Amino acid sequence: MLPDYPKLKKRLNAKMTRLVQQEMDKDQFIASIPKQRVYEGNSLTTNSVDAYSTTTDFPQIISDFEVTREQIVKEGPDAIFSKKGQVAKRMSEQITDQMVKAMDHATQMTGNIVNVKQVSETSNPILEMIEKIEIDFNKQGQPIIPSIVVSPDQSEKTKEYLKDLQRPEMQEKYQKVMARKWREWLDRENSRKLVD
Amino acid sequence: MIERIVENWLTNTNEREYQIPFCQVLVTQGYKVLHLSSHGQMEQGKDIIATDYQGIPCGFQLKTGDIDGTEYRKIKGEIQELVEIPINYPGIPKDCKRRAILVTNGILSDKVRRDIDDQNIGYKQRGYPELEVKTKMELLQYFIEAHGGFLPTELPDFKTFLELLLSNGHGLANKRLISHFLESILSSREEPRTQIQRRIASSLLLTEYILEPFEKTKNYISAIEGWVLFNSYTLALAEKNNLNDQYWRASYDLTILKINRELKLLKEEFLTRTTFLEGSWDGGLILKSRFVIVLGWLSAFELFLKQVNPSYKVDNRIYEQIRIHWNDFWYWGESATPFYVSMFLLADNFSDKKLSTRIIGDLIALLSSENKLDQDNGSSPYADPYHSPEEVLLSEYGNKKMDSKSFRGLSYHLESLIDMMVRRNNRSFLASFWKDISLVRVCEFLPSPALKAYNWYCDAGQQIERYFDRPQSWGKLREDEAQVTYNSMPNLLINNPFLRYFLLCYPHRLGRATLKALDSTISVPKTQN
Repeated sequence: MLPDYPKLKKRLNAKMTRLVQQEMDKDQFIASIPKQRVYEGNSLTTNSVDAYSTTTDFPQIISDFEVTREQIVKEGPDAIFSKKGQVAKRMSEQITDQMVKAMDHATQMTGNIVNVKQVSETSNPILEMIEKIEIDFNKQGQPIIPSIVVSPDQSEKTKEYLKDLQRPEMQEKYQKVMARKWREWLDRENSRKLVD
Repeated sequence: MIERIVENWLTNTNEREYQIPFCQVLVTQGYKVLHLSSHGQMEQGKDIIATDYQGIPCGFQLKTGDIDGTEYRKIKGEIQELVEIPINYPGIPKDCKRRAILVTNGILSDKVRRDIDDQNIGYKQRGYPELEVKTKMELLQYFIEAHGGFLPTELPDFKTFLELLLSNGHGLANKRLISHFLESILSSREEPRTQIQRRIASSLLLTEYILEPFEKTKNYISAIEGWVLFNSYTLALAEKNNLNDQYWRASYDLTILKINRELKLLKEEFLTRTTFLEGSWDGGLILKSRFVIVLGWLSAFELFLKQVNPSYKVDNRIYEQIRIHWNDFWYWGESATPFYVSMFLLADNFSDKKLSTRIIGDLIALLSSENKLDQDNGSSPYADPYHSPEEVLLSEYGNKKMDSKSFRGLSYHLESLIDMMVRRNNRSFLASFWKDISLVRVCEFLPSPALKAYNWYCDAGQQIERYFDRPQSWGKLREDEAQVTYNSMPNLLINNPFLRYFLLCYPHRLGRATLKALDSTISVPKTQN
């Protein structure tokens, strides 16, 4: 064989992995997902506080891409680096898809579903959703409102709902809901203890 | 190639280092090894007492290097003891037929050979056994024959073998690499039991070759870890194939002897040193981690000896050293947990409740306060048990930062440590930390099947994660702890004193079952709470 540089190529491969990860982290949703490394095994079982258990067997996230021989000859490793955006996009889509499916499954199990078609003029879907979920508060007493994930075709409608939430009647309801959430959060915090 | 490797090793080793491998060779030749003298303390001219395949008792005296006339004169007294004094061992009659064998990894000069021949005439006339001699060429042949066909033959495996062989013996053992090598030579395959026995014997010799650099530099802990890995893979083979003791126990016991010898040497060195620095760029956290590792291993050693011999008097000097150096310790991450547990169990042995509670209590406090989900004081959570002290030090001293975000909110050992407190009915301590504890996701990896726990890395198994209940019932905690069984553990580790060494070497295998098994070797006094 002709002279080669395997050590360099190993580092280039690792660099591509880093670059793809950096591209993926530009997506706010992906970046907001906490990451944890699992070193061994082929399945993960998570048991939540409310006895909700899920088992996953680590589905693969795969993205492939093409570069022409001419590109490789002319540009070298940069030809592969130039594909980082495309790879990141496809991987982000798969992760988002899996996360949405997982959240969908979780909401089906817990019943945390708001049927938007049945919402009346005196209620607001965003407020309905907030009423159904747990809200935590920080040390300054401010609520930590979770992110809302919507499909692109729902984004305009969601913006309308958020605007609607600013109406005085809705704000009054919002404050009452937040007060209730505050009391629920205090109860949860007070339950972090050892009892008989 | 293997001949060159064996010859190189044999030429550069000494009688202390080749004693155990030589015993392994004897076992493959059908000898039964009865007794080995402690290092440097030959007993009546005999380093090894064994019976040969005909049941004839044999005394072996081991020497290093070439023996010329000058050297032979120096050892003549010991040779006389070897030949003239009967073997002193229970069950061996003093007046029975026996053999006396001088072994050296060098060669004998012609004059010495002639002298021995002449002396043998006299010995025979006086009713003593003739002195037999085994030199380098015979030893070389024995060792090569012992390997048989059990050598790493695949190129990547041989490359790993050479890489390990050429190590300079400094630093921590590369356990991942050693495991990879051991898996290549000790992996289970369809073969008769006698073949497996030969494979284990050959592997012991190969392990000796690769660990020899550590033994030469007196890097005791790295050598010990290598031997613990060897024994773990031997147990894996024995358990997977349901082998009777006769096929693996001799090799396993020789290795335990080796490990304990290295620990004894470590203890002697530690107790006689006035400074604990090693070379330059030392001190600080590096020194602190050294104290934890050494005293953890020495604690395990004392408790191991106690467990195999209940009348053994545990050396209180190690316990005293823990008390003296307590403020010099550093918990770098969860791979430190087994060392702290060893020290805890030793303090418990000396009924020092204050120290023992403090050791485990501090760990629970640290893990719950620093690893909890909403820790916002800017400190980094503790690394999981898959990260060695060296990796954490590299991160601490800015060389190669770890991604500590992934440790946030998670702990592999917290639940096992809480179980220890539950067994001791220490409710009030746990209650004071419970709010933080409730913010940590406790997890454990369970290999599948259980005997895969012997492997350094398992590709099959389940990682289980959960939060404690809110609120958490003390009664339920006790029920949960009582229901922890040893089903997730390999069988040969249950009730096995070797488990102490295993967990120090494999910190990522410390879990609820293994820690309970370790804890159950001592009586757990119930405190009023």
